[in-house]
Amino acid sequence: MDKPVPSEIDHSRGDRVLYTVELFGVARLRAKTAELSLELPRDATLAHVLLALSEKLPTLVGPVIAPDKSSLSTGHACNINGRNFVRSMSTKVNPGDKILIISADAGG
Amino acid sequence: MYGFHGRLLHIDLNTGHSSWIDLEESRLRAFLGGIGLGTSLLYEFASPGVEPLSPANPLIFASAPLVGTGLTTTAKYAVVTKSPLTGFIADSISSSFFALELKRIGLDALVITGRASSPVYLLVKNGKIEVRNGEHLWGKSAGESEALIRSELQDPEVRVAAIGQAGENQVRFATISNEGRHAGRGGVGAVMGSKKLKAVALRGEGGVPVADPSGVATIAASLRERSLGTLTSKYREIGTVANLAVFNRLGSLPTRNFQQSTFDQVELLSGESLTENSFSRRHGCACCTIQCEHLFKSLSGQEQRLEYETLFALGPLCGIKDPDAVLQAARLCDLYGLDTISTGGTLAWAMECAEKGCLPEAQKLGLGFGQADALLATIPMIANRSGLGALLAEGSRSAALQVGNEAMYWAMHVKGLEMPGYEPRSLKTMALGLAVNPRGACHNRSGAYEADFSGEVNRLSADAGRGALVVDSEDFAAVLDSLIVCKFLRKCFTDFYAESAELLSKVTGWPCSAVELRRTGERIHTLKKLFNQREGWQPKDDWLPPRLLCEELPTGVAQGVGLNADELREMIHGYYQAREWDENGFIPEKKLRELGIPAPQAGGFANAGR
Repeated sequence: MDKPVPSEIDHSRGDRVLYTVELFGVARLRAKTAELSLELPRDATLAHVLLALSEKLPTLVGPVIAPDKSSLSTGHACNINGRNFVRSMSTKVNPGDKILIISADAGG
Repeated sequence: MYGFHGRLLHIDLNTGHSSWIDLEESRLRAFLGGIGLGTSLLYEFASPGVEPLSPANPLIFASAPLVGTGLTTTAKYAVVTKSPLTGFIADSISSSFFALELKRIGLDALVITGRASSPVYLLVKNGKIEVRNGEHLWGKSAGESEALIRSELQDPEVRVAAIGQAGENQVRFATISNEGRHAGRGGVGAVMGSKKLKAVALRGEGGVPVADPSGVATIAASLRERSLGTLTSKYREIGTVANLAVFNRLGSLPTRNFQQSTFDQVELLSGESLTENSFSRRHGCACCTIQCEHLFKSLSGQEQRLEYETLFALGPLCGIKDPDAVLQAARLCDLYGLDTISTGGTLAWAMECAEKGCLPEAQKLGLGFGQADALLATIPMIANRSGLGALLAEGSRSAALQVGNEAMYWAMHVKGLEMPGYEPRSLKTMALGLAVNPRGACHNRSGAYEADFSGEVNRLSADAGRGALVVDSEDFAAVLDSLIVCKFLRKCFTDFYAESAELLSKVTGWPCSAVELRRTGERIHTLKKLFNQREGWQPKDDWLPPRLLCEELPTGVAQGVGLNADELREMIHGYYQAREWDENGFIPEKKLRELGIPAPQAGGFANAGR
């Protein structure tokens, strides 16, 4: 999994849109919320989403989001809109996308 | 010999006679322990065509080389027999202190044949073997039997595996239970009940030396540390019930007997909600650092273990939205010794039959999707084979055959084994894994869903390339289940085959490479298939229920997604090719020779693996 590291979110850009992050399992329990919205630049990547999420919910850094704040901790996975699992954190997200943070292990 | 005792104990309940039989080192190297060893013994001890509930069907408890080494998650044992539910191999795994004791009594496997004239239990204690009167235990739950046996032996350290009333009544999906855990799938408890064997009680003092104690300790310490990180946090912090909300969101949660793959009331039952509202405490097996078991408190205050498969099967699959009803249903299944997946699957079939008017007895009971009271009333009837329970105790395939006509269409099973909680239409690699597995619709002997959740394949579409992925998954599971290591530790290995080969070498003293261990997985899986082939397997047995091939998913993110027969056939052919079996799925003799599996007519495993 590549890890493009956005050092900070560029708040100066005007063209910003809302993305929804849905949390499941450990992430939901730690964050004490199932869903939240993030406002990010239109051309944001998953790494940007995780950085913004880290700022909003620092409790997730470590257990769910890796210390670099732009990738997931081992054992977690990202899915976009409930359909596609995404491994590369440089994947761009589209306006209105729902980003799911779940456990990578589906064993039951 | 290191890591193994090099012998098995055979007990014939017809006569009460017992004998120790040496196990060849070549067999142990070729098949390891657990499922692998058990399969090799089943092949040898079961006569071709043996009736599963007859005295001649062997019931095999198999230990494994890693048991007792102190490695995390390895206190496990396998039960192998011919399944009364499928007519093919049944191989189930349970865990904890009974597994440790099985190793301590000085054997690698316990093989039980015959049938006692009246209920008995077996006691193996410090080398002494007794077949004891068990009439006073008959009618008791496994937990009660365990307590009674300890009490009468005045030995709190004795470890017991027992059947409940479902096993006594030979319900075809009855379990064998120890310490509240179950060897669950395939009806191993019914086989035990058919032998009038209520329980196996063990007490031993012998350990097994390992070849390189410090080397094993180093690996054990490393695995212990890895087992406590984020790779296993799901299991520690919420348990497998975490799957429910995720699978629902992904359109992969079988609901109302596979009519849908999403459940409207999922939030009431989700692992997150259960954790917030009903969590009681966490528990785990002996020698395990993960401690994945989560106990929840029902409204009456009783604690109940709950896993995803139980939650799915007694919840959304039956349209039940009340978490307390699910906890009560799970408790009843545990009490009677019923496999929760098959219980839920068979009840969901009966509910659909009732709603569609072809099972009047179920209608009279009020069975229907979402009818919790009727569900709770029917579970004891299954265990006791009373009323409609006599039909349902046969499992959904057999029950549907008896009812006939369209009821067959609603029986959701593969090879007679009810389907687990992974929707095949939106998890296409898993669809193939479920269709071809020797045990039937099984999520443990094949974790093919891993590919669907990896992002490496499109889980919503099918292609022949899935065959190789399923092969990898099956062989991997065969090694895990034969060493035995818990599947919840699997992602903690950096290079599973290399690390496990090193570990096996340090335990046994045998040289072992990653390549050899990978081959061992293939050999074990192939022998399972060979057993099924001997017992009458035909290509039609590797298939999915017709509903899955005729109906598209109606709800959720996978709405409109289906799976047709041509797609499934293409994946199955890809699988047979990847296995190097013939185009109809039969194993060529060349493959048996390559793997060192003696041809069926040769018998014996003295030269296995060579």
